[in-house]
Amino acid sequence: MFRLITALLATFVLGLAACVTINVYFPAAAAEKAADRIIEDIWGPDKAGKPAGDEQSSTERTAGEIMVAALQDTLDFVVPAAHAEADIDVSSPAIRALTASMKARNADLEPFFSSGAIGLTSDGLIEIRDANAVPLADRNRLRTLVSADNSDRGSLYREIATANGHPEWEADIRSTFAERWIANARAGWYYKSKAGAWTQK
Amino acid sequence: MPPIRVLLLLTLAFHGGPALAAGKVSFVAGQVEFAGLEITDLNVDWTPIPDAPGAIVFSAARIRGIEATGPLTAFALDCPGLRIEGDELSCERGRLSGSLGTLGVQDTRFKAKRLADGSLQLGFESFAIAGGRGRLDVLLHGSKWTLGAKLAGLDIGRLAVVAKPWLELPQDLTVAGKASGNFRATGSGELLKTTKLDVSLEALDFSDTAGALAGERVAGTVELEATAVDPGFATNGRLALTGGQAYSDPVFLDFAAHGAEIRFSGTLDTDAARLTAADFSLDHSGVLQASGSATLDFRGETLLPDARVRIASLDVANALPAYVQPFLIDTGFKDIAGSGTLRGELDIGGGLPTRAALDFDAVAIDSPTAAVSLAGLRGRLNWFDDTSRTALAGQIDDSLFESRLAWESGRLWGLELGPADLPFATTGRHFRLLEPAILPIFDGGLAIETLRVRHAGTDEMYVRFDARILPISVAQLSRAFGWPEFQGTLAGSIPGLQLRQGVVTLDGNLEATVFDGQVVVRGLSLSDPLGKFPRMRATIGINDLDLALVTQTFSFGMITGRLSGWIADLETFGWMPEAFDASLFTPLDDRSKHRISQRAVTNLSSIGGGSGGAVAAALQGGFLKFFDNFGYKRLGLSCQLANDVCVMGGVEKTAGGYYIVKGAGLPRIDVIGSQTRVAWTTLVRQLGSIAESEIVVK
Repeated sequence: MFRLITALLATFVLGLAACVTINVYFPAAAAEKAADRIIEDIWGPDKAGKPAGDEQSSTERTAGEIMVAALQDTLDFVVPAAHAEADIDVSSPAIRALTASMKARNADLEPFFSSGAIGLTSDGLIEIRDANAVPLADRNRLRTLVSADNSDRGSLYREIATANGHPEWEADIRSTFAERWIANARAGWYYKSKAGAWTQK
Repeated sequence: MPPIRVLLLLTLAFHGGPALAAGKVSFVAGQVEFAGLEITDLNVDWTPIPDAPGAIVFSAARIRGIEATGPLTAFALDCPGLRIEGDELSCERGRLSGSLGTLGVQDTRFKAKRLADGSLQLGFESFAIAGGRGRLDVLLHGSKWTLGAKLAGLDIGRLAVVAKPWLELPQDLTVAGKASGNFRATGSGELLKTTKLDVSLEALDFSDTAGALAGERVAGTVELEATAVDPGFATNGRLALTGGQAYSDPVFLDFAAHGAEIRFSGTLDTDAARLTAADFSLDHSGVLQASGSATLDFRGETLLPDARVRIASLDVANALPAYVQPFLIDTGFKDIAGSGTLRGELDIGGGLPTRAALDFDAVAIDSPTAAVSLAGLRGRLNWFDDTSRTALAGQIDDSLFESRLAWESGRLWGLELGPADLPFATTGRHFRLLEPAILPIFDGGLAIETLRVRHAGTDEMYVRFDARILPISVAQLSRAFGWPEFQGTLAGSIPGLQLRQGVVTLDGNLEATVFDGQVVVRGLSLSDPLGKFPRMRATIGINDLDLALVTQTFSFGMITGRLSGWIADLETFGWMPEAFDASLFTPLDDRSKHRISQRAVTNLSSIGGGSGGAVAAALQGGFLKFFDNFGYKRLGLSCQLANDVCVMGGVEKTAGGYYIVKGAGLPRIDVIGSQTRVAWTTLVRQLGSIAESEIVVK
C-alpha cells in the first residue's frame, strides 16, 4: 500500500516536472535528438553493444516508472504542439567546426575516459577525476586536452543556441547535453552528479 | 628519540639488578611500573660469577609506555658476558631480541659498557629499522645522548611510520622507496642539539590523492647538518636529484634528463615549519643556474613566500617547456618554444613575483598556435608589481622603470615582421609603449602611435592600439594568407582599436587603399581574437576597385573596369563566413573601359549555374573564337549567405535568371545566371577550382 502511495506521489511530482520540461519555448526532445547526433558524431557509435542513449530500455522498469512513463506519453499527446513544430538546427558552420574539432580530439581523450582519469560533469564539461591514473609526463598534456575540450564544449552550447536564434537557450542546451553525454557514455566511464560525487557507469 | 626510551630498558637492566653476591638470582614480576613504563611478566635472571664474567637475562612479555614506538613484545636482553670491574660494568656478545613496536622485530648482537662516570655506551651490530638494517651506536651520559647509525635498505614508506611522532607528512601523501645512509645526532633529554645526515634515495615514489604532487622513481642524495639555536636550527644542506620524475601541478620535471642540485644554509624554524635560507644556489642542469635567498613555508599557502633570486643563466630552450608552458596551457601560447639565454634578477614577495629585471640575449621564441615568433630578441625587461612600483616611485631613477626590447625578425599570423625596437614600461598586468614605433611588415609596416594593455590575461583585459598602415604589397599579404596573388598595395589607418571584455572593436572605420580603390571596414567586432574560433562581425564597403589589378595575376581571367559594392553584416566563425549580404557590381557612373576575357566569361558562367564547359565550347566554336575579349555594359554578382545557402543575383533580372554580365557592342555576350540558391560549400568549391584551374581559352 505504502509503495503504491509513493508511486502515485512520485507520478504526480514527476508528472508536474514533465509538464515543466516539455516547454513550449525550449524544444527539449528535439534538443536531445540533436545532442545525440552530435555526440555520436564525436564519440562514434558505441561498439560495445547496447544502443547509445536509452539507458532505461535495458533495465527493468518498476511499476512507478511505468506509470510515470505512461503519464508522460499522455502529456505528450495532450500538448503535442509543445514540440511538434520546434526543431533544433545543428548544421551551422560554427557547430560543424566545433564538432570536427572535438571529434579530432576524441582519439586522445578516449583512453583517459576509459582509465577513469577523466569523467563527465553535470554541467556538460569534462574534468580530471584521478590524475594519479596518468603518468607524470602526460599530466600536462591531459590538462591541455581537457581545457581545449571544455572551451569547445562551451562554444558548442552557445553556438547551437545562437544558430537557432535563441541565445537564451544556452543553459538549456548545456543541461540537455550534460544529460546526453552521460547517457551516451561507455560502460566503465565516470560521471559526476550535481552533488559532486563520481559514479562509474 | 625512540631508541633513547628503548635504551632506558638497557639502563634498567644494568642499574636495577638486585645487588646480591652469589648464586643465581631470579626476579619475577607479573606487573612492574618503572620510569613510566608498564612491564608485564618481567623476568630477570642474574648469575654472578666471582672474578669472571657473569650472565644476565632480562625478558618481558610486554612493555608499554613508550609513546614513540608503541608496545614492545617478547622483549629479551641476553648478556652472557657481564663483567664488573670496580664501578665499571660491561656486557660483551650481548643479544637483543623482540618486537619493538614500530621499530619492528629485532635480533641483534650488542655491546654495552657502563663507565665509572655513569655514562653508558651501547653498540648494536645489526639493528633493524623500517625494513633496513645497520649499525647503531648510542652514548648516554646523564640526560645527554649521542646517536650514530649507518643504515641500508630502509623502506621509506615504513620510515615515515617510524618517524611519525617527529615528522608528520601531510595526511594524503603516500611515500615509498629505498634509502640508505649515515645519521648522527646529539641531544639532551627530549631535545635534539645537533644532527648530521647523509642519505641516498633510490626509487622514491610519492603522490597525494589529487595527483597534484607526485614523484616517480626519484633518485638522489640528501646531506643535512643542523645545530639547535633559539628558536629552531641553524642548518645547511645539499639536495641532489639525479633520476626520476616529479610533478607539482602544473610543473613537470624530469631529473633523468636535467638533474638538479640545491645547496642552502639558513635557519629552520621547526615550530613554524619555515626554512629561511640566507643563501641558496640552484643548478638545474642545462636549464637554470641561480642563487640568492629564499624562505620556504612548508605549512603555509605558498611554499615560496619570499625570495631574491639572481639568475646567472636561464636556458630558454629548456626552461620554457619546464617552467613556462605549463602555466600557459589554457592560452594560445601553450606550445611556446624558444632558444637563447636570459640573465637577471627576480624578487618574490607574499608568494608572488614583485620585480623582475631580465636581460635577453639572442633569444628566439615561437608559438605555432598563437602564430607568433620572434628571433634575435635582445634588450632589458624591467617589471614591477603595482605595489613595488608605487613604493619605489621617486626613489629610484625613472629609467629603471623602463624596458627596451628589440628583435631582428619575426612572424605574426603569417605576416613577416622586420627588425623593431620597442621602448615600453610594464607594471603588474599593464603595458605601455613609451614612444611611437615602427613595426615593419613585409615591404611596409605599421606606424604604431599608441599601444596600451591593461589587466592583461584577466577578464578585464583592455587593449588600445592606434596605427597607420605604411604601404604593404598586397602580393606578399596574399601569399602569407594563402590567397590568389593579388597586385597593388595596402595602406590606410587603424584608428582606436580596442579590446574590451574579450571583444575587439574600432573607434572609427578601418580604411585601406587597395587595387586603386578604397575598402572601408565598418562596425568591426572580433570576439575571442586569440582563441581557436574567433568570431568576427563587420560590414565592408568596397569602392571603385580597378578590376584589371584584381584579376591581373589571378587565373580567373582578365576583366577591366571598376568594381564597387559591399559585404554587409558579415559574420565569420573561425574565419569561415557564416552569413553576409554581399553585392559587387560595376558602378553606374563608371566611364572606364569595360572588357572581359573569354576565360572570365567561362568562369563567371559556371558560378551562375551554367555549364562552364558548354560556354567554353560555345566561345571556342563559330566566329566567337576570333575574339579574345568582349565589351560589357555592367557586371555584378550578389550573394546573401544564410544557413549555408547563398541566394544569388546579378546586376539586373531577366526572364529565368539574372545578368551576371550584361554585354555591350558586338559581338555581344551576356552571362545569365539561372540558379538563385547555391549551397555555400559548392560555391566555395567552384571558386576554388576556378582559382586553381589552368584552362587555356584560345
